Amino acid sequence: MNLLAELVFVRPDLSLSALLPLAVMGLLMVGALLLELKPSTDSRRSVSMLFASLGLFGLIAYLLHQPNSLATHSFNAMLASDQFSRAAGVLIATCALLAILAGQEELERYGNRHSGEFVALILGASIGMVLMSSALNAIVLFLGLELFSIALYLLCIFFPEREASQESGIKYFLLSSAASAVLLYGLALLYGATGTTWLSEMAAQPERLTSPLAMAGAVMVLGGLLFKLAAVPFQFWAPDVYQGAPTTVTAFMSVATKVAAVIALWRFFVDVPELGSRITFVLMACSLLSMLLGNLLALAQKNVKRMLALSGVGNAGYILIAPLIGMEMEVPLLFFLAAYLFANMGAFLALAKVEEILNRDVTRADLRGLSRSHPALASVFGLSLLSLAGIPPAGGFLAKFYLFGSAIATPFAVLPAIGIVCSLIGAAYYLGTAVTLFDAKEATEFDGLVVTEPVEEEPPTSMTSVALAICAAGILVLGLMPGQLMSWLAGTAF
Amino acid sequence: MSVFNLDTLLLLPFAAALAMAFMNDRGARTFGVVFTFVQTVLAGYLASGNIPLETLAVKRLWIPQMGLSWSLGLDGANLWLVALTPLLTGLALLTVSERTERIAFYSANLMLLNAMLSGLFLAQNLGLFYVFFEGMLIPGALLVAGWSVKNGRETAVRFLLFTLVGSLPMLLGVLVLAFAGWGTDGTPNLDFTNLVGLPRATQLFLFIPFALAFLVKMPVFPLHGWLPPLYRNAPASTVAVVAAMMSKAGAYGLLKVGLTVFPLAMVEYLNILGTLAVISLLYGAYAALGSDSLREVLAFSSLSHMAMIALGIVTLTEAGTAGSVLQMAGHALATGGLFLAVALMEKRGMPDELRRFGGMANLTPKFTVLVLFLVLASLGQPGLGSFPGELLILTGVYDGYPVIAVLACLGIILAAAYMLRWYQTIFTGDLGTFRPPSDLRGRELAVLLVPVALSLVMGLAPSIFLQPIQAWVAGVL
Repeated sequence: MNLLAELVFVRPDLSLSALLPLAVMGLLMVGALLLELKPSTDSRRSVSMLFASLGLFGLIAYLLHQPNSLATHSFNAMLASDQFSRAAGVLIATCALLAILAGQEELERYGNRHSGEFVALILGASIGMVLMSSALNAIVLFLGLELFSIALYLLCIFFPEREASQESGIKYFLLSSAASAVLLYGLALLYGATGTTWLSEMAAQPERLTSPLAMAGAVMVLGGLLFKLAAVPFQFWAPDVYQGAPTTVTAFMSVATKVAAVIALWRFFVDVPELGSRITFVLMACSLLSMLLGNLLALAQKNVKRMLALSGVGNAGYILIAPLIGMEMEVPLLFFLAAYLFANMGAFLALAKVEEILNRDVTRADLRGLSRSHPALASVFGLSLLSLAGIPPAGGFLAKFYLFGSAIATPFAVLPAIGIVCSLIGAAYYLGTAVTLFDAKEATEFDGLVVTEPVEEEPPTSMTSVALAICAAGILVLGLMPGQLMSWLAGTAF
Repeated sequence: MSVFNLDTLLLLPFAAALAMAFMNDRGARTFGVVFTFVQTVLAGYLASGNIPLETLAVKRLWIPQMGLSWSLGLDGANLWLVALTPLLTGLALLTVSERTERIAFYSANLMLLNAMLSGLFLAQNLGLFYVFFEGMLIPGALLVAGWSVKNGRETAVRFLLFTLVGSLPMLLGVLVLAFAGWGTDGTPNLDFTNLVGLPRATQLFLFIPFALAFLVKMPVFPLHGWLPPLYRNAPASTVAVVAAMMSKAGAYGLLKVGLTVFPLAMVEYLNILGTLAVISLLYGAYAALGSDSLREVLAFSSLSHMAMIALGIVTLTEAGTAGSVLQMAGHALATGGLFLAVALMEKRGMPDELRRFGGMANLTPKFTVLVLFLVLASLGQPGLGSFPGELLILTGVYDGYPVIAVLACLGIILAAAYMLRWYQTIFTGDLGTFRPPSDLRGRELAVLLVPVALSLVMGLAPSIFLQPIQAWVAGVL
């Protein structure tokens, strides 16, 4: 009897709000696989893609509809449900939605029927990324990291008949596994120093974080996360992997990985201030060098995909300004990521379309005169590049304005100043490319493509067009009417 | 609230540009001309003085987190620029050749440029001002890249890079003003009214990037590298709007931002700015004298005249500043008109090398008379548009800096020399190899008559134009 009295019923610490994005994506993933058990005869109509897109759309709409002010956690304080995790849910789900919509055409181009697997892998990667962004515990964080990394290895190599794709997959697999191992070892060292895997408990014992052991751990964790962000000094893999991977996958990973990695970085180095204060100098150097090196190398690139990959390194440098400063940079960071999402995915997806038209890798000179044969495509491409360059009225302008502006009244004012210099370098290749699209004086390769059918571009039902339209709309809404999204990100009512 | 307000005035051209992008070629151009006419009439009505200008001001929240608001206002500084921008755009649309490719898209871009410029002139918030200052690069670059005679891509990229080298540092200045806590209550607020009375040290430091941006846009020697290729290669109707109105964006920025936000810095840097302006004035005149290219003479003459406007602004005297504001309108009519004339003749296959011209007065008498008026207006003939402005500027300069005034007068004499040489080479003497097939007809005559007539009004009755300007100048100085 006594025994029974002492038995206390522990209510499981389960909150649906933290689990919801993960659960929905998981269900969609399973659903997509089941739906493709019997491959459809008509490759243009993939049921799984439609199913997953609608599901993701619903998820995004639901998340945006929910108020964003509460910060709770669940699963024994392993998963957060806060500003960052909800924003990551929305951003990563949007990336996945765009990639799934646009992936259809690329699959078709290579005669690949495995659209169910493609969808499932994208969703699997998204689950890993959201998990990583919500993690308050080092083990959960690593779980998320590995989950999305494995899915991305497979996605990089999804068209094995392409040699570049194989190279990309292997390269990413080898280098990324090494980075993951370094990160894992760093986590182990931190555990050794503090005796806990919970970040909040690490923060509660700052005296233990001053040991060399903890320092070594922190640097290794930072290295692993910088690798995922494609920031200097771990940027070298990005051009090769991005170039070889299917362009839709490149678009997805170039944005979504950065979202997950920078939020994890925030949870480690801002929410555990003792760790952050010790690596400030390193992080600052990484940010500066990423901005400079990324933009300078991109300037020299002829290949558009490599150029965009290296510009991603530069953008990683801008992104790093936020965790470096910490408090009050949450909304500028998330807003920047949202603007980067639409601009970068818009550019990559438009590039995928051009690759399909020309059926080869695209150099900057190849783009000459695209606006004449494909005005809508060229407009979206141009708008995306404009946003990446940070020219109003595109969303990228306000994003930079907000991020750099919020940083300018802090001791780190030199970073936005250098950032603006780098934006100028960036403008040289972004706008140079954008101008090429609209330069139509001499005959171009595209001319031959339109002679037979003058205005007919693509059947309006093409899912890539839908994805590109979403990107264009996103860029313009963020540039002209960002009020609602900004209030949502800030968690204030609107 | 009546529909005759500044919101309508500014949203109208944006909506028109969007609609025109989806129209067919013929419809788009006609629609554009009608819309710019409506916009001009609306601007003229608002400017006519029936409504007190202060009551027109509009202010709405846009992005309070960043200090950006939708603030528009009409005053003596921007009044005539706001009215002239749609007028010149409409005239430029009328000169677009039927043989131009994708006229609808071309016209839409010209309309967008008009909209961006109107926004820039109307903006009463520094952030909004910056948005339009950068935003006008988009239609500008598209027009140059897509329709240049040659080297479109290179010209456009050069234009973009020069402008951005100036304006990105300015962005840094805007960010500091927004976020470094000079707002009245600590929240970012970039309204011009809120940026008055900054500490002296702040002004001295922050004015530098702003001045750089405006001097590149104007442009002033040695920051003018984008100007000669653009004026030489871009389609003439685009150059007409760029030379007439876009160049004013820089001068207007110096006037508006300089005098309202950085008055102490303007005093401090007066000598440097004045010297730059005089050098630019003489350099432009010298280069125009030596050029064998029809468009290049006009380009360098524009450079020289813009320097005169800059000189008037930086004197910080009532006469000089008012003269500059007036001369912005006078120069817009003269230079804009001359490039419209170029556009009309290039439709008839006109070459660019001056040595291929001669004796055109006998072949195209109507064209010759109208161009002569514009040439005289441009070189500051009394009775025409540029005279009262330049006279006021020189009076203002002479008050404090007689030496500079003498040098500026030299510039005016040189202007007479190169403009008359230009006119003589083309229109008098023996017949050259270029023989235009026809003189101007109907609509084309109207295109040149409008700037000539307005220039005459401005030259004969400058007080109509000067009244609101003087009221504004007295308020800021």
